[in-house]
Amino acid sequence: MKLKGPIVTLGVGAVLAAALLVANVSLSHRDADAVAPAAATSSAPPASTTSASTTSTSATTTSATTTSATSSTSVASGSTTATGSAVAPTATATGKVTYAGEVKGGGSLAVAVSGDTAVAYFCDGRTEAWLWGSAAGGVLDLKDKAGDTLTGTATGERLTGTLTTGGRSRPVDLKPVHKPSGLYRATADVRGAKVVGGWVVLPDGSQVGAWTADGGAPRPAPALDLATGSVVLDGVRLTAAAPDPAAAS
Amino acid sequence: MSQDALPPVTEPDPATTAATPDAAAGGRSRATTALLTTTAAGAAVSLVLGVFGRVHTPSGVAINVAGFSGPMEVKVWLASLSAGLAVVQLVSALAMYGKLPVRAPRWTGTLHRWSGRAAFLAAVPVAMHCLYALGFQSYDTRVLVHSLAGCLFFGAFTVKMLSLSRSGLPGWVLPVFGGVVFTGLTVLWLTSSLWFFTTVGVRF
Repeated sequence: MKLKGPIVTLGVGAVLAAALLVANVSLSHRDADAVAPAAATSSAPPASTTSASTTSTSATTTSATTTSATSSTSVASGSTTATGSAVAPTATATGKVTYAGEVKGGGSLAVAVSGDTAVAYFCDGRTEAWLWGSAAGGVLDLKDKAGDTLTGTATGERLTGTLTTGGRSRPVDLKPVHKPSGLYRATADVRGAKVVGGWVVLPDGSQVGAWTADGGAPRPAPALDLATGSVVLDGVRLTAAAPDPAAAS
Repeated sequence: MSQDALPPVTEPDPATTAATPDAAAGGRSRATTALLTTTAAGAAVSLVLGVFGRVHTPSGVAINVAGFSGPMEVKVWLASLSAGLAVVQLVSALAMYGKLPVRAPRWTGTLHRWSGRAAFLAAVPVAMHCLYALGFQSYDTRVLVHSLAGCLFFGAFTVKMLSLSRSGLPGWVLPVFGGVVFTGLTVLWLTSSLWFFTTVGVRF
């Protein structure tokens, strides 16, 4: 009687927590097709297909489309704006191809080539590098301000070359990938700091990503919701999208 | 973490030990066993929450409550409700222990129990969202302190609840764990809601 009260309280709390957990899990599966790296398959879930096709529509123009990060359920604060260039990282009529794969020695690399320009992102969960540059004639010459480079050739069927980050060089050999695999980038001004997140999503559904604030040390990024590109960084919901190779930053 | 907050178990409060040496020894060992089992249960709760939050890949999304602009706003206000009720908890506990200059009304115990239940139940959805959508994080001090305090709070609360249903515990157990629960919740509120109000703004 009197002594059972606290146990009941604990029990009610546990039941409430369990109910919320079940609701959350079912929500993730229904609403977002949340792709846990281990559980993901190479086939796009229905929701992703819908999302991907809408993105592709706006993507046939290779210009950057500004996407608002705020939605009715988003967390973004009033001072937060997020932009992502919505260009589908797949082979299209405009000649845009995204290559992705693992790099020998650790980490993943994705390269989006569009016409004469390309953007590459390397991430191993601890270090990262955004590389921008020329892809004229299928010859890649990408670099960043820290002196990291990616050189090689891209044929549309295969990308081979050499990646150098942090003073370490290794060969790369990548194949084209299709949505939702590929390269994702989210940028936002969060309370005055420039937040940049990057993700490489491989065909097996595994993803690796990191984010920085004001160019500081990279931090492991939470998994992207591949259906919507949605992710929470620093308590703010952002929408990640394929970056525009021509918009070097 | 709960263990860290534990005073030595070998010194039972004289007020609760029985008059004869034999009974005192029996009471001591019973009390020690009860303390060990309840704190072990609380430590297990803390550990499970922390490990789940760390290992589980944060989803970034979780169910929302209608009427608020976003999950963060829901959490901030639920946490504030919980923290406000925690103040009621502190005052009513002080009254029950006769630490206030005024005589505690008869309904103080009822107030303490029900405000505690409400505070706990308001905190559970907040914690579920934290754990499911965001996870145990350590990328800056505020976030690390918040993650640790969250695990501590639910572990200490478990110990407090289980201790209520055990007899023969030393008199200091409930105030100490009640104090840890209150401190934990206050730290949680300071590192989340207050941070949100001061950096993002007071919003619904």
